[in-house]
Amino acid sequence: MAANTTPGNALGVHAGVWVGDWADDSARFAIESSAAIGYDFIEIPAVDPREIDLAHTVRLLESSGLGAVVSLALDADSDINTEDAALSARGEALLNSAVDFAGAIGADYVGGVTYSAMIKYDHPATAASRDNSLAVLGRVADRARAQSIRIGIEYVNRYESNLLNTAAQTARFIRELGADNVLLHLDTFHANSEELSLPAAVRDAGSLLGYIHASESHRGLLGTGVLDFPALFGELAATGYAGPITFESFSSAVLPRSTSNTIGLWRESWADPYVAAREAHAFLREQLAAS
Amino acid sequence: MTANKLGVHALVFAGGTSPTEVDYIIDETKKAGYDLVEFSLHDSPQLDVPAARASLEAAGLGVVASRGLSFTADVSSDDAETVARGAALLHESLAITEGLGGTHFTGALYSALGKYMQPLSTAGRANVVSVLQDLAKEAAGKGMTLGLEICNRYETNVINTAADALRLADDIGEDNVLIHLDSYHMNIEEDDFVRPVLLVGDRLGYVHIGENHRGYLGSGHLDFASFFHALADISYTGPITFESFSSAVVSPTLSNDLSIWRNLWNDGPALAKHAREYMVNAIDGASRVYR
Repeated sequence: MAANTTPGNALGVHAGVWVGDWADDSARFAIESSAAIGYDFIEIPAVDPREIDLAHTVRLLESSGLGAVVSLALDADSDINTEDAALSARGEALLNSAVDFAGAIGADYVGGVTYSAMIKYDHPATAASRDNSLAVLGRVADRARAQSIRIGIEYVNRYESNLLNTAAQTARFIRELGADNVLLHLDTFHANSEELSLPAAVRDAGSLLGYIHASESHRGLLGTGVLDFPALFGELAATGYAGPITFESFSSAVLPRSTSNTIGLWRESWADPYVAAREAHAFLREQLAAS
Repeated sequence: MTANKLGVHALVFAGGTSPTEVDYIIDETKKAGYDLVEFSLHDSPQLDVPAARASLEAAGLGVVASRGLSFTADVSSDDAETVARGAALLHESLAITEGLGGTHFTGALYSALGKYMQPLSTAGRANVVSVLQDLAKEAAGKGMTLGLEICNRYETNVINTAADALRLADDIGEDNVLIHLDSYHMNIEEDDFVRPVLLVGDRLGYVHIGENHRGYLGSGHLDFASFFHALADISYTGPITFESFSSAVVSPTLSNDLSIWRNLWNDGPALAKHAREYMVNAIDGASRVYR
């Protein structure tokens, strides 16, 4: 997020608002549109560095003045929340690849469902699978530190992981991990299902809170669902949170069918990404100004 | 006394429906002051239906039965044999409901209770309509009603909102098919807790009250005041049932299907008593209109 030069929280937008892949044209559209609206940075889902033109992304970011962060979610074939060594090794390789992708495009943050597959598990997590996740993330954090990259642990709802569903669980996990470049990533959509309240989640995260996804209760336009954003921003102001805040919203109008299937998106939330991203930017600025 | 009969889901007390568990469930439901108990039929092979009915009658308790289907017995499938297995399960479950002395059979009667990996197909939806038309006709002959419980995106791809459910009920076109709202699912999918109630109006047949994390009522952030006010505004007099899940009470099947990974309480009877008082107060408060 090096491009952010104004004081206060840097505001970002998830690339999934704009595009369903990272081909050259998609990257151009997502980056130039984000910059045009006034976002400080864009969150780019990790892609295999061998499959895209990295220099193209770097040039676009430089010419638009936009910062970048990288996100990823492990899946059933690359899961470190497991007792299966081969499966864990594939998960670790995917995490390492995401760190290297971030390094290559000048991003200083890799966050998401980095500790578990993003799937509907059919069993509870075990002590051994949790220990394995901690061990792998320790090594990944070392690799990231060498490139001045931080790792984000985004807890998600019960349907997307069996390991970390609350800020309190995540804070305990990060403290056990003991790596100084690992931070807690709070997503308001997931917190809505699992937490006592958004302010309580911020307090549970405490000083480990380092990244926020602002996402409505149904993942549509901000302000159209049940989330109490004034209470969230009040708590963030009271605790002095100065980190990034990223708008995340998904619509079947943009996402490829495979991604929609993974996240259970059966509805078209909105049709025009430009309207969604512009309204969200204004909404977030108003919330920050009012708190 | 409220106009609404108040119920409690059996999984507050026990994970299965063996004779010992059924006796305990009925005993604790009565002690906590409820009018009815809801049995999930996921464990129906263990259920001694005549014995349960005798115990319910002896205790003076009403009964509602609920269930979701499975991916191998799913009436929303494109596959004729899978649909047939789902239809058979529904007819069998309707007979069990009748055997228990219940008149209301509800739940995800229209699909598997699980995370789908593709959207509902046109043919699959037509199968839902056709099977539920038959089931509704059979139920009507017995003086029974069917409930369409609206579930969140991770538990079904068929109906996630009140608007979806009304369209499905319209297509089924039988008067004894009613809508079942659940506050836990509404928190994830609806715009608020008022509009869906007003939209459904007199077609509302059953209500689940659950907190956003499915624990103690009042310990989360759901806007129950708005929800109970809306129920009062449509003069809803049907049953209202408390639903809560914790890893302290484990069903070998349903707990994993519902992703119950966390311990939110240990003492089911204490939880049930608290929830009944909470609902009685909320209903009473909503009935007091000052003009």
